[in-house]
Amino acid sequence: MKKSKNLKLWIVALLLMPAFLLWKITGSYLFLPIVGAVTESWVNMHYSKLTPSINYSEANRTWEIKTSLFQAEKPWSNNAYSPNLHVTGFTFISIGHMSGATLGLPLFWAFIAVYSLQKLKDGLIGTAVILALICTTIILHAEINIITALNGDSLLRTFKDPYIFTPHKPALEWLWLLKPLRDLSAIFALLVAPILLCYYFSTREKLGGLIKGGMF
Amino acid sequence: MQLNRIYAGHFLLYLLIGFVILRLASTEILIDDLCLVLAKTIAWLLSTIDSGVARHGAVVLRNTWGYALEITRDCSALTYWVTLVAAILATPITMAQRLIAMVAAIFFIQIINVFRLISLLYIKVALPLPLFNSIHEQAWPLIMGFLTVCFFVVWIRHHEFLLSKEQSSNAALSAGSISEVNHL
Repeated sequence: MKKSKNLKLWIVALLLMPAFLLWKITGSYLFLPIVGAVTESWVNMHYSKLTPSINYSEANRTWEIKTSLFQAEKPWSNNAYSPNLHVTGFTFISIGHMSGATLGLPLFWAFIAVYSLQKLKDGLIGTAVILALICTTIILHAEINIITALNGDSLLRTFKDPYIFTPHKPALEWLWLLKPLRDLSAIFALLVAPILLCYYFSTREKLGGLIKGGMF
Repeated sequence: MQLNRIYAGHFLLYLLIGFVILRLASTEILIDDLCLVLAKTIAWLLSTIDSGVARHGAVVLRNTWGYALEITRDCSALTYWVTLVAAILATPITMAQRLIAMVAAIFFIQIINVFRLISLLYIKVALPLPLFNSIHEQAWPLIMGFLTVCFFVVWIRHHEFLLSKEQSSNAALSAGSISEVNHL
């Protein structure tokens, strides 16, 4: 019994490479755009005044939120005074490498391929759950970066209404809650959820009675 | 030992506390010290096979390669350790067993981490940058995650094995004492 369990773990290790390759192929075309779209709609809902949009920057190799933060609401000049500080264009807020947050998917696929009896159905349900967790992580990450940018101490103090957008500025204290929550959500998406889901799927049939077997 | 006996609520709570502690300023100083220890270990290990390796603070470098490797807080792999510690603390065992498991976990994670950092140092020389980035940011975190799960699974199975052995020896002892009573 113990030998066969260890053998299964070895098979999972072998399946990590194909799962990783599948994730590489599908990730940038399927999962990252989904995560990007969900995050964008959430951020738009909360910070519509910033007109944010989320894009992948090839140059910086990171996902960025393109915002109108620090952008003048209307051209600012008059005959009396022409300011030296005038920000035009967009402000980019980096949200880093989103792909790192989606690494729970290949781990889950490798485990589910070995431990589940209904691989396709369980795989799809598990992928959807992990994807929801990934979206939560990225949304929290984006929120943290936007709050940090909005509370930045230089430009917002220099410009006064109505020359720049003045969106709702959440308190910096929110970061005390949001940062651990983001970390928690990230580790769930990366490690905990794939294993818990796989454990649940592998023991589901036996959960009604005495649990025996499964991953552990 | 089954997962249903590991209290999910406790695990979540310990994990949250762990991440809050990781974010504290005083903890970050300790993490910087850990990074320094990691850099020293890597430099020492590499110096046994390669005389050109040097270290400045938490930066490991080799002049002929033209680049350096800085061990930052993200390189400390403490996230995996905190997850393991939360799972170990949530498992219903004695405190001594928990302590042993936690110490074993930090050694396990850091040994793999040192191997990861050394491999990255050489991969950067051998492979083009996009491939290095892929290994650094995607392949290694996946492997680290898998090995963390492996550690927990193997540890819990070992614990289960010890527990069943203890139970069988207890059963044998009680059977022996019953037969002695019968003889008397």
